[in-house]
Amino acid sequence: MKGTNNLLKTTVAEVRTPVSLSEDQEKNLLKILAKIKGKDIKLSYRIDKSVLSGFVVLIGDWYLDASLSTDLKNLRENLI
Amino acid sequence: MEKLGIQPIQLLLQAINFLIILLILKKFLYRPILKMLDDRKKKIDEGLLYSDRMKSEFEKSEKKRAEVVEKGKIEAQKLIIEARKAAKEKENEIIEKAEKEAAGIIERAEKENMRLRQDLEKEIQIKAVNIAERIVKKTVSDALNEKMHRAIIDKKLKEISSKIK
Repeated sequence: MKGTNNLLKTTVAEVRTPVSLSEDQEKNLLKILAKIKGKDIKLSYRIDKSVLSGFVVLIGDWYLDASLSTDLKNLRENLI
Repeated sequence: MEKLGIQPIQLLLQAINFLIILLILKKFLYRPILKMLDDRKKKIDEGLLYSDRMKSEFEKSEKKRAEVVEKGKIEAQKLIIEARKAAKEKENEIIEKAEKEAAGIIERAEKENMRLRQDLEKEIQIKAVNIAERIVKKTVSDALNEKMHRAIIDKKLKEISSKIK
């Protein structure tokens, strides 16, 4: 299954962000994801400048979008 | 009488002669002439009568003609009035129709103008927003350093945490 580490029985989440997260931020994000998904999550990072700022988490088909690019996109849609 | 050169016997003979001639004329000339004159008079009387009758007929006919002409004039006047009235009504109808059509054309043109204006405004707005978006992206991308990115990420994490509590 995509996004799942079979050996460790934990789900792998891809985190897209323009800069790497600090330790505290990583802990906070893991806590949040565990709460939402109800299981342990392992993070895999991908530096993505298109996010602009903030982050996007992808677990299989599910995603958590906290990016500045999406904020900007929403603002754009509100303006148009 | 003899002193005057008048012979009584001759006078008598001439008188008799005159009477004989008078009788002959009366018998053979006056009567036909009188008859002819009488006939002519009758014809003239008939002619006059006919003329009077014709005159009367003519007067009647003239009167009738005058009545017909007068009636015709009245009818013609009526027709002219009706025709004028009908023409006026038609004119008003045409003007009203033209005014309605003109109003419709103006209304459609105004709507079309309004639609074009709205389309143009929308297009300008989209272009302006696209340009603004590119500027913001470029500015944000250039201006944000690692510390700022981390601050934004912190803010986002706090927002999400507060939502899922």
